[in-house]
Amino acid sequence: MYVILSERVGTLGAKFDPADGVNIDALLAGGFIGLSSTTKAPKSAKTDTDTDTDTETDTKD
Amino acid sequence: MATTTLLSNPHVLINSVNMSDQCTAANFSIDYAQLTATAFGDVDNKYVKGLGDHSVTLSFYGSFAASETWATLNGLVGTTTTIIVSPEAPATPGTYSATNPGMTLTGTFLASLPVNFALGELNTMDVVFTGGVYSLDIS
Repeated sequence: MYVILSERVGTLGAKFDPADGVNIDALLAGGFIGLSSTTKAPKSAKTDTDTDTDTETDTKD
Repeated sequence: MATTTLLSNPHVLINSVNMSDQCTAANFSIDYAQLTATAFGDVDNKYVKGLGDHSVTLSFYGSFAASETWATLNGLVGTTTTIIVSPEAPATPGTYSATNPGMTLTGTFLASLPVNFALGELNTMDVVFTGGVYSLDIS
């Protein structure tokens, strides 16, 4: 997902939807668009974590 | 009288970047190879359309400021992009019409970026985009 950073491309802050044949790398390099910061990073896979401990803590004095 | 006087209206979109305010000339050339189809018995030459070989020649003032000419063109050298030239800026971006067609070259190649410096003159950049698929956006 890209966001517009230059008025030459469109409204600042608006989502940029590249048309067919547009060179995204050149737009990024020139600072005309940027990667959207609102893009959520994919969640990592859930893994079971063994929280049991083999050692017991003696709380008695 | 079918004439059009271009004062300041033509719109040039390079790689989705509006460069109209830096552009001083645009030559959009739609060309096809002319293949001979003349055969025995014909008394006149006949031709059919061959491969398209289109190009766009553009002249810009050579601003090196951010988001200006150099920033737009430098990253395109040796790559392909899309160019749209229209007689006027569309009222709604990306929306063209029969009276304001968007002449489009998709996948056109920029081979070089010559930068012209001359004493006492604004520096310029004259580029030629060649090849690509031509289409006319009138929707």
